[in-house]
Amino acid sequence: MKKILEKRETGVFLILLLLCLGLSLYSPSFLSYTNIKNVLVNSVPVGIMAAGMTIVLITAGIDVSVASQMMFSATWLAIFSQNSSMANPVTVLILALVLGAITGAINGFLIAAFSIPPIIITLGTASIYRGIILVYTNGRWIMNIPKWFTALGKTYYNIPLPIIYAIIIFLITAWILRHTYFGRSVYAVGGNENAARYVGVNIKKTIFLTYFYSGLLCGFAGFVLDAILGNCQPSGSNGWEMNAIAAAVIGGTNILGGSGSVIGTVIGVAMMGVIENGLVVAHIPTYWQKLVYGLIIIATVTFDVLRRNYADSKKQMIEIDQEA
Amino acid sequence: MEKLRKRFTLHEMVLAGAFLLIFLIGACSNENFLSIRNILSLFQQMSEMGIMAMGLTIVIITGGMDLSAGTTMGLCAVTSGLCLTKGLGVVPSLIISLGVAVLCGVMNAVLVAIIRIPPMIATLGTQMFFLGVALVLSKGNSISGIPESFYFLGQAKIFGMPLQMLLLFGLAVFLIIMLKNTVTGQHIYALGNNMKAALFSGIRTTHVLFYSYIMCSVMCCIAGNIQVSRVATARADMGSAFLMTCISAVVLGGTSINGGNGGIVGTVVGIMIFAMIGNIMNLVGISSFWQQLATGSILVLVVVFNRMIEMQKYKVKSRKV
Amino acid sequence: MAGKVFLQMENISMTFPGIKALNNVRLDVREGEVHALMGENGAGKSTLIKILSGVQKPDVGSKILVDEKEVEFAGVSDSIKHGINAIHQDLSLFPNLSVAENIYLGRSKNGKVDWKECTKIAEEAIEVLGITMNVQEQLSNLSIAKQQLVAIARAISFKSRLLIMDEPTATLSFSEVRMLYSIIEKLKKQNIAILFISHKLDEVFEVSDRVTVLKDGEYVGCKDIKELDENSLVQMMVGRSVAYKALNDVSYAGDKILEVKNLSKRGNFKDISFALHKGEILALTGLVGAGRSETVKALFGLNPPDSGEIYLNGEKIDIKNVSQAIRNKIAFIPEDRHEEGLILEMSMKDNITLPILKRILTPFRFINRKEVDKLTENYVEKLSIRPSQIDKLARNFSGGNQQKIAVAKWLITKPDILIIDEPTHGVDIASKTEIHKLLKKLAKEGMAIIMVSSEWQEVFALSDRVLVMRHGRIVHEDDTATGNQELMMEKAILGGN
Repeated sequence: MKKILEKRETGVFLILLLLCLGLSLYSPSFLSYTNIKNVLVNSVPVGIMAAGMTIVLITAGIDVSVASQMMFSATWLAIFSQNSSMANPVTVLILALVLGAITGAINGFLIAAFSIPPIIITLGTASIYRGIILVYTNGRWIMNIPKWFTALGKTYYNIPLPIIYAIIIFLITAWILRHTYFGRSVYAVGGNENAARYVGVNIKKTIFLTYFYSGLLCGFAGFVLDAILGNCQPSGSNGWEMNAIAAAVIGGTNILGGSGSVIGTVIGVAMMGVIENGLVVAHIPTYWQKLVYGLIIIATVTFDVLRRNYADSKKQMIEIDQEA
Repeated sequence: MEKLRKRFTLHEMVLAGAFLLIFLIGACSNENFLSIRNILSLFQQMSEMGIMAMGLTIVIITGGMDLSAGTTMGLCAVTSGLCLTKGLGVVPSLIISLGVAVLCGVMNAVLVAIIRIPPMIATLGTQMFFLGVALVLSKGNSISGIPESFYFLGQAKIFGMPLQMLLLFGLAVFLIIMLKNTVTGQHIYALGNNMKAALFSGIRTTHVLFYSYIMCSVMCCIAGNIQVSRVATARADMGSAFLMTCISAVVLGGTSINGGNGGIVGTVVGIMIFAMIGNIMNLVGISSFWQQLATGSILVLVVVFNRMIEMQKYKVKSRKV
Repeated sequence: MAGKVFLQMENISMTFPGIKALNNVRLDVREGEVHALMGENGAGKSTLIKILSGVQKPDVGSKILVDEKEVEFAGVSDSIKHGINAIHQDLSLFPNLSVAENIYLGRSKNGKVDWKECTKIAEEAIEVLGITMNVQEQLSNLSIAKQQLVAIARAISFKSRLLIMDEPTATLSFSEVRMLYSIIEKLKKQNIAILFISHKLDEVFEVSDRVTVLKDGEYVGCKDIKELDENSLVQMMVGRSVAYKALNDVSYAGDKILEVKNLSKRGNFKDISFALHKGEILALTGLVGAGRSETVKALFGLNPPDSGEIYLNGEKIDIKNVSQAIRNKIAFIPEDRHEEGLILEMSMKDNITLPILKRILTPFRFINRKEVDKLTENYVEKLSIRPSQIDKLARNFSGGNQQKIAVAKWLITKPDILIIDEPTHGVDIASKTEIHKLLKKLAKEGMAIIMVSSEWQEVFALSDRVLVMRHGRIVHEDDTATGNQELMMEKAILGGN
């Protein structure tokens, strides 16, 4: 019990509950099924990307290309589903994962093989992936995604499919982080890279797999996005990478590496969805969002860094004889 | 050849080669490319980005990074846009806008130099924050109705040359001299090479970092105001698209993302290359989306290339041992 | 008592650029014994451990035998396979993970983690140590001593037969050290051998069965602890003859230039008081971690003290940052030239003139390049730095010349007080002598010098007076020429009475 209370996730969860409570008192429509469903469904693509981002951040890396990777996948899927006779739910899903695997593998290779700051590489590849789809589509929207495709994003028996997808992804990611050698290596690399080397963790392989997995999830997020929206705007979802980062950081993932959890990120995603919805409900313009998220990121990072600096300075102290 | 090798580094020669190559492609592909009008408009277009990239160069030489440069520009643009449309004069508006830039720089510097957050992370946070503030100030809209008295900055010509072009070169000369010939400049390089040794040499590292980040923000502010004046509107996301191209130009220009070396001349050449690519694409009628693709590819290629050379150097050295 | 030989190392040599870190060193460890490895700083202990744990590969011709069979350690996993586990001084643990996982990490079955097995292995390992600990606790919540136990538990969980402990007691309190001793006893009974690296004589006599001593990368000897007493062990470590002759006998008749009174900083040093005279070389010695570097860094504004007073020429001064120290004509040459002293990617002239750029400006406040060149050439000649190309990058000079550049960089500020931390660390013999001569010359010209050094030879040969530090305090002060050298060493190593 004490352990649960100590976790940052718990605090964030409590704040989330309070927020929900306040909003439902302010406006009864907040608690309506439709509203909650909308909040959750709209958060799914970012949520899926945030799951991958969590793993990346735990290794002390970052991936600012996730939104571009997602749109890369979404655009090709939309085109494929409209034009190919082979298009069906299975092939589309496979293509989504393949596309995500390609973009993720490119990121992972460049970062792991050359040890270049990940933010620089992913900034570059973000612009490449986005550039490719923009050049191909000339920036035009792709409308009228086939019915069978959008059916995959609908609600059945009051259960929205996208939410199911998100839950599956969260469970898989949490399982990987908790129960696989790779998952534990992620924590090891982020916690103490040198020590990880001493216990035989293959650092480069771990880092490659991290970005590969993040790419895979982005590919899948593109699939979900198409299914939900029914159209695809190649230049869309700009800046969503920041939302994914913010969700993970709000949920307690340390941007300096070493700690974080999927459950925390889920809470973070929900929190962001609620804030967004709350602003609408409270008639506060949505542009306040970015300011709030920016402040939250700055504040949590500052806190983490100060804590680390304090621990470091304590470590360097020596024991002094009390009497001369 | 030998003489050339001695005088210039490999990177400088490659850069000059790339510049000439693109220049030739431009000259061959379209007869308008070499026209005075086109060249002047080329400079007009590249000034804003060039000024921002020069600011970034300083921060990157210190071993830092300012990912908030683009949104700083947007924030400053919105600020002066607001001031101007609220009836404030040109000079007070500019001063307030510069004041906001200094605040942005101070905020970045506090996070980086005092709290010691890795610069990329710190400025990633402020990037979002500044954008948020700009959006709130502008209520998410673009601000139009900029008074004509402000147009001089981005539209005036002196002896037929665009004012912002002169501003670009003026600032470039100032920064080149600052980096090469002043104590501050020398300290900036020292810091980027080895923060600890710099501290041990009596360099006030915190001061230098504050100077660098504030300088970068001020340059972004200048770029933002030029754009407001040129397009007669101000928007919060004005500079966001610039960031990538600017970082690419800095890196292409020979400044290492790890800090410690590089300079303004390389950055200006780098920006010129990107501007020419864009210009040629416009003239030939290739969609501007290719530019985005090209910018990203160049950034990745240059960073990987530099890194490979570095790894090669390191290998050779360790083999000698 | 004496089990059969588990490990033999023969003809171990290790060459680094410009330096032979180990030269034909040998070591043998028997099953179930505690074998102490001793020597001064730079004697080659840590290199030997790195070879033994598979982090570094020795020169060709070196031989390692486990159970009398020759083996080769290509990586860390190889040495673990042979039952050799090292506990590094920094412990190499993961603060963000649980105790159990810290012990378990590195094992997996088909890429999966078996948490039940993880807990089981961890609890077993903890049990072997005979202690109780909640293995689900996050490591960063534990004290350093407990973290060390985790590191030991981790090592023995790999069915270790030889445990290397690098300065295990450096950060432990008295009672924690007791606990560590009892654990070592338990491990011995299970026939696990322990290679114990330590500076502390009392400790070595308490726990070890045999001692191997290294000096300057050479094997000095291996003796049964019963054959030794403290004096004879110190002699083995320091060298055959304990008495050294000073280079020349300078008396520090100069005026008092610096006086420090009751300087204290929490976790760094306490009640530091001493005086420094013009023309004097004052040695500050003691073991690593005694607070010497912390103290001199305080005098240079890098580590401002909590309390205490500093008087310069009789006037009370404040030194809160480096610029203030420089203004007060204090210079500091750090130990680690690569990390702290020089900016390797900058030219020699830029390095040398970096601290005084503000003093050589043209009327427009630009750097006076001509003056930069002139000053640099001046010092190149004065210190005979070779090669004399002032535009050459600092990286491309030899270790000795790099040290000279570092010295020049600070002489150029014309200091009254020069602080130098381990002046000849990592420098070849020829440059060593040159640097010693230079320091003597500077002192003769009236400069006051504080020299931090762990090398007794250097201390006795160079200094006029010695301050011995231990655990953050000055425990002894003596004249080098007239003082009792053995007593000084004893004070540093043994402390107390």
